[in-house]
Amino acid sequence: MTRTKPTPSNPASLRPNKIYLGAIALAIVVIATLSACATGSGKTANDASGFGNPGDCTVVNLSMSTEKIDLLTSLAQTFNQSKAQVNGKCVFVNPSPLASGAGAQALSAGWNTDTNGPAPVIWTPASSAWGAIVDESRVSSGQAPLAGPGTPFMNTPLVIAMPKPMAEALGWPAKSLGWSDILSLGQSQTGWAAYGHPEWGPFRLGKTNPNFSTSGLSALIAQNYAAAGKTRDLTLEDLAKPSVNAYDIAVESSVNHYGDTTLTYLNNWYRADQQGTALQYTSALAVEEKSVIDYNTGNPDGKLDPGEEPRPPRTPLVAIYPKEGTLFSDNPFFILNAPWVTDDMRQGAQLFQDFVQRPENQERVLKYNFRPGNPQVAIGAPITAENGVDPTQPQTLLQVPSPSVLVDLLHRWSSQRKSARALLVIDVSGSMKDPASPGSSDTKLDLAKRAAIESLDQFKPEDEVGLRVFSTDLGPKGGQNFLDLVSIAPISQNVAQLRQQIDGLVPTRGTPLYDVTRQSFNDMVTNYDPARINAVVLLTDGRNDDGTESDDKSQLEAALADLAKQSQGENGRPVRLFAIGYGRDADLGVLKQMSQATNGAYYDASDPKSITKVFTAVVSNF
Amino acid sequence: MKRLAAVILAIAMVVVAVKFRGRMDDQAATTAADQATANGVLVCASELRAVCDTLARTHRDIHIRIEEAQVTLTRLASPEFDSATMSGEGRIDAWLVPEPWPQMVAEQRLRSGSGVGVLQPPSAVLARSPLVIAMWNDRRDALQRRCENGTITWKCIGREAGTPWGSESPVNSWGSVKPGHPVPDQTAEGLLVLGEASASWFGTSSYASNDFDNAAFRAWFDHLERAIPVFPVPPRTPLDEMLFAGPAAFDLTGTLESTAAPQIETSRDNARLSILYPEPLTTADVVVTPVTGSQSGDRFMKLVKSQEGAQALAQAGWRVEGQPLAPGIPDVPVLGAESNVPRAGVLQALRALWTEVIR
Repeated sequence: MTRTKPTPSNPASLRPNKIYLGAIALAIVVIATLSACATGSGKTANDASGFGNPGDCTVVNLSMSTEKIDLLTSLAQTFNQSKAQVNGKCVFVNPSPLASGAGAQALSAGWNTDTNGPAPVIWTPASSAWGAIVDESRVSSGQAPLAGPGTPFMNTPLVIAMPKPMAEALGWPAKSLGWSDILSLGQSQTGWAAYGHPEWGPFRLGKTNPNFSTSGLSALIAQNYAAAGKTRDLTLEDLAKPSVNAYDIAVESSVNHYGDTTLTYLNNWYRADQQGTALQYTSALAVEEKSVIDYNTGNPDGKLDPGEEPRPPRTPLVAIYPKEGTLFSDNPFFILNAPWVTDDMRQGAQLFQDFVQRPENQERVLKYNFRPGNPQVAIGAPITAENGVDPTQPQTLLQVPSPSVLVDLLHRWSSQRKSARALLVIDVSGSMKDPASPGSSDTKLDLAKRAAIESLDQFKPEDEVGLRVFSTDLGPKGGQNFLDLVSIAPISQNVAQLRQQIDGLVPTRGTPLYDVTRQSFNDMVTNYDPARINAVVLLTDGRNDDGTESDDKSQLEAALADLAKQSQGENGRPVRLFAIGYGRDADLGVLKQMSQATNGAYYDASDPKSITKVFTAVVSNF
Repeated sequence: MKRLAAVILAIAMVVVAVKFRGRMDDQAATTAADQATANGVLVCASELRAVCDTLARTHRDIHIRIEEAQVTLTRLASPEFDSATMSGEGRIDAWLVPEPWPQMVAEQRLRSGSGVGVLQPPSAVLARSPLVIAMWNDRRDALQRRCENGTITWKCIGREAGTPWGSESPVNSWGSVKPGHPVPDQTAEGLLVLGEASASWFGTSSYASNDFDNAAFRAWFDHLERAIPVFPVPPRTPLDEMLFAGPAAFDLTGTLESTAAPQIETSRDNARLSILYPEPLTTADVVVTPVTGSQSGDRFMKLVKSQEGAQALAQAGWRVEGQPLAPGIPDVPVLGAESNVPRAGVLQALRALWTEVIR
């Protein structure tokens, strides 16, 4: 047996030594890295942007409510570049957005990194009330509290936004208006006709879902204070009074639809304004003061897309600071008392908290239309009358109820909210059998079915829900584009059937998107129920494909015209389309057009794994 | 075979490195903790945070802990407290706090039969600050019209608390009269304000705990305390909320001059806020008290009593004899010789009464 001599021409013969040396080299690198950490070299791989690789820095994950993404991302970037250190190691703040209510639910249930991202060291929802809810929920389920009192860093009061002509019709600004006035109007049979404006139709109140939205939660608190005739010390006994319950139900009945954030409302309102129908869409909406400024400066959702030019609306909004008092969104920093938070992380979080309180950083808060939390920084532009707001207001606050009252408020709201009448329209075209992700054993339809079944739990027993599926060549004779698998009926009666039918769905053929959307919408308009939120929830993963491409354009135009026609004017029968674009091939542009034509909303679930979260957001409209 | 050996060696080296790193971390943590407390712990009531932060910056070898007076009181009054065995989080070598908290410790220990000698006698008074009322100017003007002789007193505030400001514009948007003070079952500041307010009702600071049985006093006390919208969780105070959220949060608050005057001086609302000195004016008188048997206690006492300590107190807004006043601290009114703080036992009874009404 001859032994092969290692030569460059025989690479194979070199492999064992290379592996040996490579392994040793790797080990040395690991040792060097670990030793560097131990001796606190403070070396960082962070790049000039402030958001590169955190290297060996202590990472402080920051979970923030969505309205302050731009501000806190910018502050974190500056902080990361400042080379702040704890125990000789640099600190790296890693921000990620999560709606306040979603953050509260995640922390209450036990943070799931798969669905919610990295576990936060700092959590900053819009209001301290969320911290109280988390701690109350955890304590009542035998877990340790996480949030504690928190440290606010900027604020914005909850106001009632109204189109200026409507506020003037009510006597504003000479007359002080309050929750009681607004909420009574919501129950009025005559609507705006009583104020000489029958063309504005009924009084339509805009509210967001209090389980998700801080504005929605604050508005719910204020509503219950008004119902109880109090401005403080709201109790569980107050909430249990039949008169308070009746008041709440009456108010909720004037809501046109809910939603997970105020941004959907504001975008719809702005779009309606551009079409001259703002006064018919919504009469009043509980929002944060900053949103009124955003809206009036032509940036209704507070985010300017690249190339977007802010254009002020035709009819500006004014902020009404309720005479009974209001609540502040105080944007607290909660440095969490969680098992995953180390002492170094805690100290790093404290450094960042101190950093954002510095006057020069608090000046930046104003640029985002918030009021600075540091009292050394003056409240100036843009908090001015020209933008529809008043820096000297509010003059009094409503007391934030105790955590147990807050939890009970949310619990009661789930049955008091306006009932829904919803048709679930699910795409079962052939592409739904594609894997949800490369290598996944689940198809897109599998995930969608699970999400749809889970979402059924969010409806209340009185809600009416039906199920329609669509594809081409359906039905016994193969000539139908859709099939009604479960007729619309109270979900208390048909939930088992809904679950069973959804579970049994299988992918079939094409995607007659335009035809079925139009047909479903018209069916809901025909059977419109004014006492309910009427809606079509459409889930599709593709583009219109009914076998005849030549008429696609005319089909879409006809569908859009139909949707818009029924949704406008004081006598409209507003059926909202909430469309979910599922997977990468969904035609988001068309879904956006169609949903916006109905003052509904579209949701992007291009990552199939997000479908459960998206379904939850969609059902928050009810 | 060589391949396998290389992989095993590499894994072994990584494991050793991880263990090495872990040991270094553990050693570093232990060393830091030991060093931090080896030279003793000076505990400062939260009202004196700025003073102790200043001292800690200059003396890196000493360990400072800031906590609410009630927390330290509870530790020291506990029968388990033993200065010889204390360590870590519970260690106390000296306490910087307003009077009469050291006496409260002695009283509580006496009552529980734990022995009174846990603290050495406190120093002489090192610094003083009056308990004042910080108030929005427009609210001050409106309240003056509702108080006897146009003078705002705690007695008048307690009577008007919770009642609507009025139905005419602009006061109809002010809601009801919203007083505030720091939470008295945790902070020294809050309990001292409560003592001052009660002295206003009785017309003297020489009241006793059995006076609390007076039905008219109880009604007034209940009315005042129940009208307070919220007791912010320390370290936040009603003054913080006023400066953060404006007059919507509180119309007025009882507070220390040393806390309020410097903050208001630099606040955006400086021109809209006033500081009132109610009668009878109470002062918080600061002392330092070493723990009996502590090696470091006397050293802390010397440090706080030194020129350096006096400067730190004055810079933090306290009135110290021979030291210049901090920015925002006025030289009037001149403080009387007496603090007008009720006796230790009376303050404890007042705290118990407050707990009964609010908690």
